[in-house]
Amino acid sequence: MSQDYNDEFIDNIKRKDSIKNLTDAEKELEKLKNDKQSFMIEQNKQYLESLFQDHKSSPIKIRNVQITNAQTFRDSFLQSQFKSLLASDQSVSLESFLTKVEHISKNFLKLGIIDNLLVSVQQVNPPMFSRGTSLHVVPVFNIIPTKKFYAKTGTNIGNGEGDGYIQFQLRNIFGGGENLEFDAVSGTKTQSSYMLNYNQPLFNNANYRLENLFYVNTRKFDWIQANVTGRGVTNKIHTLFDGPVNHEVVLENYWKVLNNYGSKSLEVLQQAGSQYKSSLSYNIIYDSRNNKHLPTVGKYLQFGVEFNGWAKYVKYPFIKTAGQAQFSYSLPKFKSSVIATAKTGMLYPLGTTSSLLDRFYIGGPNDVRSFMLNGLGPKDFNSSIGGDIFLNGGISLITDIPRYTESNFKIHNFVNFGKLVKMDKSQGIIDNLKQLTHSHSLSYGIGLLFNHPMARFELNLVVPIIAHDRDSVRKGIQYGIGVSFL
Amino acid sequence: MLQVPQTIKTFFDAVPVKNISNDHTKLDDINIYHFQGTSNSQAKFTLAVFNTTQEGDLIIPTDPISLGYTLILSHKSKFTLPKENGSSNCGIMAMSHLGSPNNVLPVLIEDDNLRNIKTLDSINHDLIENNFDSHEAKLVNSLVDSKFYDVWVQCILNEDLPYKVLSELFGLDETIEGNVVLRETQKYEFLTQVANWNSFKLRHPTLFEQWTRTNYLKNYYESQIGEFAKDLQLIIEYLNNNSDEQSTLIKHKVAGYMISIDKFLKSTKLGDVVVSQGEFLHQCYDLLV
Repeated sequence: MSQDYNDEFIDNIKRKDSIKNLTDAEKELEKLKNDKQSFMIEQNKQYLESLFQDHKSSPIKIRNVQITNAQTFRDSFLQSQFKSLLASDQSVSLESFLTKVEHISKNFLKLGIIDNLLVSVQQVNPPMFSRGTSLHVVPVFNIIPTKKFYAKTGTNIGNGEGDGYIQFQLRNIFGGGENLEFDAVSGTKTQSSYMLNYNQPLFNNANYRLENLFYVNTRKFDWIQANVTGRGVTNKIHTLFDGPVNHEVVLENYWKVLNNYGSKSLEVLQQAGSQYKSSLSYNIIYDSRNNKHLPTVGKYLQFGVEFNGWAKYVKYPFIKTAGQAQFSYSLPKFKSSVIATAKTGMLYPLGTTSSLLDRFYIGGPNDVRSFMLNGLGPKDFNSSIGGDIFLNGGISLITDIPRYTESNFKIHNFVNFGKLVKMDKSQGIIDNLKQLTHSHSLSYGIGLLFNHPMARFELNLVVPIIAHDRDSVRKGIQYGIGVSFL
Repeated sequence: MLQVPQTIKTFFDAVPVKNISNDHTKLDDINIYHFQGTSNSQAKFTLAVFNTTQEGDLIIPTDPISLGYTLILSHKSKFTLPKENGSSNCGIMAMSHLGSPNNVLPVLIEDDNLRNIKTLDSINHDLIENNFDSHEAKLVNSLVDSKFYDVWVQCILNEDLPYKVLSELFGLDETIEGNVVLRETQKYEFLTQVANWNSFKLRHPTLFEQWTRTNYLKNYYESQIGEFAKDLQLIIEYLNNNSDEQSTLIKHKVAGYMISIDKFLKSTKLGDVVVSQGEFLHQCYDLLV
């Protein structure tokens, strides 16, 4: 979990489908893709259902599978995808047949390597001397693959930052869902960022994905008045199950260079220079929410653990855990919903102290509102030096605007709290954790939010209720854009 | 202009409703080696240097400029050089050059009511402003600041020093020595920074054209070694003929170069020149008390 692509622990344990950094155009494109996927699946299902209407009681016997436009895929890959249809010589029920076809369609779409998948079913004569009453069919899958090469360029402006980017994608390189992506970004906060991402399904299974990221970037960390240059390799295996539970294992090797330009904190000065990270982390995610950005029902639970210290040149070894819980309830009587969120994490330094670049930071428009970005917790000469233990959370009441109940604009009332402290190793862990039981910073706000399908926009009027002297508070208007909010 | 209503002003002034005073956050222990003795001045300062080494029971900076300024500071403040358990408010600490606002060390961290970080340029300027009134002394000091520093930078760039030596001198991470990729990348990055010190690359851009493929920089360094030998001889003569406060400060500065080069770069061309001035070198070591 580094400071860049995986820098914030909480960010790191997000699912891959996080769209936090997408531009509006990309989000729109993603939305259209999703709509298209849903539409295609539904269309396929309806078609097949009507086809089999007359034969719903008949058992189905699949004689073989025909695939058109299959030349862009490897034989072994195709065999894996269609294995479920060909696995048995026995007849299957209509429901089972439809489920298998839908499953195959979903897998192809999940891999992002097809534009469309059309399924037709041909009835064929049963073999001579066949005694059964099964309906003998041959499903025909017409695959329309995506473009192999894709490039785009553009600019992003917003959130106090502007940048330009260029992106190249090579899809389905070896005929088994292998993709190569290259991103280059240059902006005001991210001075430069280059990332190469090679990803592929594991064992020809769309539910398991291997990602290999190579990156070099330089970013401004305003809260410690320093620039951080990172170079690293991240290898990640994660699942994409349709069910609520998913897993992620991440191996990260990262070289970070902290270059101070204006901090007077001795901690920042002392930690300037090179730091290496060689970590292994595991995350588990349970997600049953009906919407990722503004759920009205469902639960989201995640827990992650990370160990950094494999290599002898790791200067700041640690064990880190972080978790998040979000519960959403609908209150139809009040045309409202309630979202309760809590996050917590602990970093236990295995050496004398922890790195500024590994610690937790809280506060900001997407976090504990009414405080500046990373504005809570320990400070040293105006630098937010972060903490090793934190607890924050909030309750949001989302209410329909009267007479505009169908609108994506909602009224938002919230209370947020949070506390971030440094680990004092001279005390026990329990004593350190006790610090989280009192003296939380607290804020309240009311505002308007817009729930775009790909992100959430908030414009709030915020006031701090309780604050520490060291906290950087924000009174008045505060706006936030993102996919993950307290 | 739109006036904010008084009620709103009052409301926002009233929040936060409760202010919690800061709980005591224990900051990381910083390894500062304190000077010994007590100064008449109440000033509290720390000189941030590349790295430190043990000389007898004394702790001294490894690079010439930091060592020179440590000697000057201890002389001016009537301290003796830092030890493991020094007792004063002031001291030296090792940190990466990337901790300095302009990526050059030493920097002087002054802690009065406010913290002030003075870069090397600022330290040099203050030293001249507050201590030098003779034109001759100013010229000699300027010679040390510019030409000695230049030849030192060139020595680092040209002598192909082993990573271990660079690590000792500049505090580069010694744990990566066994990893060829990290070691060479780190070394390359560091040497790229060194070229910018004292604005050397800015003043000699042509020397760095196709740096790795041409001998411009190497040839220039070799010519400068001869110059350095002559300049050192002249300065030694000046110092032998003058014993005022200004020449004492210059002697401390030069001693920084002599001791550091003798300790770490004896096998270099620069080292040959320094070792050839055995008597003066001995006088320099005598300043380490």
